[in-house]
Amino acid sequence: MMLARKLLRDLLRRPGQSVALALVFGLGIAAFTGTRAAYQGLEPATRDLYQRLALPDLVASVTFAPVRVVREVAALPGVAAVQGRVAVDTSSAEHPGVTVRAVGVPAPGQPRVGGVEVVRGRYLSGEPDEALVAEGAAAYHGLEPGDTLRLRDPDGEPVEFRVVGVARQPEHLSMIPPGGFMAMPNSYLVTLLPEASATRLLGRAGGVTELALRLSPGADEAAVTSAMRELLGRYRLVLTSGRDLPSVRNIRSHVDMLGSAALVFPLLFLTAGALGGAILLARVVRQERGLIGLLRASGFGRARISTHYLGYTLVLAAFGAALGLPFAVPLAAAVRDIFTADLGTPAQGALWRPELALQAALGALVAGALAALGPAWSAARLPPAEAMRGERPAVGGAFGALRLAGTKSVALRMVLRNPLRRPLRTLASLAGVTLAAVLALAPALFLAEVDRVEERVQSVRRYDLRVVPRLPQPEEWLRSLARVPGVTRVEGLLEVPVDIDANGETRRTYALGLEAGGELLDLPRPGRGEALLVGGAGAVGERIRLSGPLAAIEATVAGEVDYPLGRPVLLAVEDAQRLLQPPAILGDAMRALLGRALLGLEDPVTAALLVLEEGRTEQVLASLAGRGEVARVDDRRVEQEDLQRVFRLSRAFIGVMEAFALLLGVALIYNAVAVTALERHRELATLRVLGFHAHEVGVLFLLETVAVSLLALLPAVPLALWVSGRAVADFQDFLPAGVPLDGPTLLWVALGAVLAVLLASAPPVRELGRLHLAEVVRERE
Amino acid sequence: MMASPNTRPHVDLADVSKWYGREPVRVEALAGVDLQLDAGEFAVVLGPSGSGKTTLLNLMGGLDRPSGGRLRVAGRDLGSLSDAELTRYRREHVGFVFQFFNLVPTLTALENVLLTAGLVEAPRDAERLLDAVGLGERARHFPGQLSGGEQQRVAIARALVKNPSLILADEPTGSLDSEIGARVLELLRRLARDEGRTVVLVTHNEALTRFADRLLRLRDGRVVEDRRRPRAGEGPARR
Repeated sequence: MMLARKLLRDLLRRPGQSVALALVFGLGIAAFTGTRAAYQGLEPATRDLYQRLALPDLVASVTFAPVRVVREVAALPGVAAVQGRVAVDTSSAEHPGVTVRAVGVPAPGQPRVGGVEVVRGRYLSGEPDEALVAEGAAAYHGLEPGDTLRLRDPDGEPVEFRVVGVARQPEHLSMIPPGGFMAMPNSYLVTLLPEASATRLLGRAGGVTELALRLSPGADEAAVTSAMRELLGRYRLVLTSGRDLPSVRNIRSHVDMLGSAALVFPLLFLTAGALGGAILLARVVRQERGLIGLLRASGFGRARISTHYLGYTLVLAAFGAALGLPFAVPLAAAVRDIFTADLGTPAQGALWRPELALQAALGALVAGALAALGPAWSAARLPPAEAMRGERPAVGGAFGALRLAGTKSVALRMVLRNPLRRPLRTLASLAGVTLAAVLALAPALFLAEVDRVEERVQSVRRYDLRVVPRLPQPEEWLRSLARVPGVTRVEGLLEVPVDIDANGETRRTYALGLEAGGELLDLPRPGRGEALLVGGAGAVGERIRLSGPLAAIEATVAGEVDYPLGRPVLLAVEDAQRLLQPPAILGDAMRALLGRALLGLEDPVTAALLVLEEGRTEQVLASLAGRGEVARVDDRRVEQEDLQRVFRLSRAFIGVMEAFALLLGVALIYNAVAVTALERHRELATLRVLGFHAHEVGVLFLLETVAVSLLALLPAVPLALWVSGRAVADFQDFLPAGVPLDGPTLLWVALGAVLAVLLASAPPVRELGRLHLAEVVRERE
Repeated sequence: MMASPNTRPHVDLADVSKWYGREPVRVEALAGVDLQLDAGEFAVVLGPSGSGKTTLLNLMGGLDRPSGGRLRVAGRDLGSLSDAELTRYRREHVGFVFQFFNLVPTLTALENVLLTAGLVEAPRDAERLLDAVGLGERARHFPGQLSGGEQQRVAIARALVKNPSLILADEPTGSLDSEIGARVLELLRRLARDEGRTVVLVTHNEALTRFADRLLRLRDGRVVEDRRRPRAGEGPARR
């Protein structure tokens, strides 16, 4: 009982260190309980929703196929259910610059695959003018039941719809446009319409543009895929498995990342708390050698002694639990809200999960116990007589090896040797500061790369509008666009989905066919037969095979290209066009005939880039809205807003991480500095008595801490690169170059480390200035 | 070099008192001490615990300020100096020798001396000083590799390297056996005589009085005995 009282008083005598370490434990506990609760709510909610609403196992996109193919596909072995539908990109009179994807669904009645769940309002009754708006976009465009949405038909005429509900469809939770990889709710909106209304917007009846499939349990997906290719190949088929649908992939990446973060960050904090606790306790045991000897001589057993010292870190961990748990629910709510608002994920489950709180507290106690093991064990093993004689001074010590003959300054020698005085403590401090530095550096490097990508996006895109037709268009179309009032320049672009065979692997992406003289995409132009790849996807000089919808070609990798947002392969437009040509075996005449029959043209483009006169955007948008062949118009400014929204979120998230890192760093450094200052206060007081000014002693002391902290950056750099590389592994489309080392960021983090040292060292250094010199110099060490 | 008997006293305390705390719990550590020490004098201050001898040493060393009276060392009034000026005073005029040596463990014997040498513009040669205290061969050893007597000799060399006019030693032989302690004291006495430095040594140990030119005995904060011991060729004690 008395020892317990002593323990509590000892901790209260060191309020700064006790609170700092409890705070580190508390951060770990709050991070685990909060983020894990959010993860446990999001992950099953998303999975349940996919299950409940029958997320397709495969989605087949075609230009236009007759309705009978739905029956044919349904009859394929392994196919459990098929939903044929019309999905058409159009625009809205109320939302200029926004691409609206109208998806046909049965009304009334639910789709067999890709079900619909109404969040607000009601489901479609069968009236042709009713519409549901996807939940992921409704808030961004202020659309609620009762609002009106006017969508353009192929002739550009607005068709009025009444919004009757806000709904979810599993493949359209995140608002990611086809071919995109990040949610763009500002510039992309999904609406669900009665099938007949969607067909009207497409302007072509009797067919479908998408088939959503569910496979039978145990079905061979590869076999089904192969059969689908055979059946639908003539309709420019693009097959995407359910797990690779943009929305599904985006949500999975983020939820997986949250799951990892919910383990990694708490572990990081608990490890840091354990390191700090070990440093503190080792010092306490050293300081109390005499007392330990006395207790042992008085009859206290080893178990009592070790339990007593074990109690220090356990009390700190428990105190940390009390500090951290109140923040768990707000943290869980904040994380959940970000996911539901930004990614469109459903949320369910409790934010407060007692079992997680218990696990976190137990984890903290285990970390605390591990931290105390070494010091408590050494305390218990101290022979009483030796303990009461006090500690023998180090003979040479590890610092003895550092002769530093080349270092003239004696003070500098002191600074360099002191960290070796207590090598284990220095190692523990180094490890702790390294953890904090990783926590600071990894997201900072990520942010630096995000910033670079943002700048690159700005510099690459030199156009104002990107116009996407419903079907590939001839070059004449470009000339017609150039005649639209307000348009000053037009360039064509050909995007073709391809499978790349390189390095023995096949990767699905798209080929970007660039005109030789084009300038509106500021990218290098490959020559005929050449390919430029993004982010080291192939070696220069390597031959790669590109399989397009109708043909396969070979190209030589001519180099890498710094292309932001996506990993296409860049080709000369003529090579990209070859991917759309029927096989040569049919002969030129037959090929030309087939090409025209299938595509209606020989030299198609799939997008046009437009430069506009200043202030004519609205007028041009209105003109384009009246053109039936235009599926959508991407306004660079609106897309930029979406990008900036994503980047803002990243910055906010990273800002929180940086604050945590600084807090962690300060707490750990403060603990180490306070322990060192306590241990060396006689030595430092002696320097003052000998004639050193207080600020000179303070600087010497700070230099040591700065040196150790900067040393901690050495292992932190590769670790941070590894951590950030792992974290963005699922975001290769977004950050194709991964997360490279960035000099200025490293410098900023180093400055942050110095700031942490200054903040953490200020109280102990101030204490040194207040030492009663005459008393301290008379103490026995 | 011997001090001239006609010069002003190097250390001059006039009615110096020092108390801690406030009434009614005020503790008087020194009560109206008058004392003059000449350059080259070796003074041993004796007294039981709580008699005020360490307080006296602290005041002379500029580690503390008197509560009353006037304390001058080398002509400067220590009571009127700021903290920074007191630091400068310690840096330029005082050499300290402690009971537990207080060497920096991460610096070798030579480096410990050089560390202090760097504080003044014209320090003495550190290596020669270590030679002079018999540690020339051990200059590159760390304190942990030296015996207690050797460490204390390093501490003396460290005190001397600044060329201080006043050396203050607080129980310098307290951690040493008697033989080594005697050698350390002989070294200090020789310094006082040969180099004209004022040495004030505080101790419990009556046996050390045989090294003193001047014996001061304190009790309850007052000087109760002030006796000069005749050096070879000098007259009898004053008081």
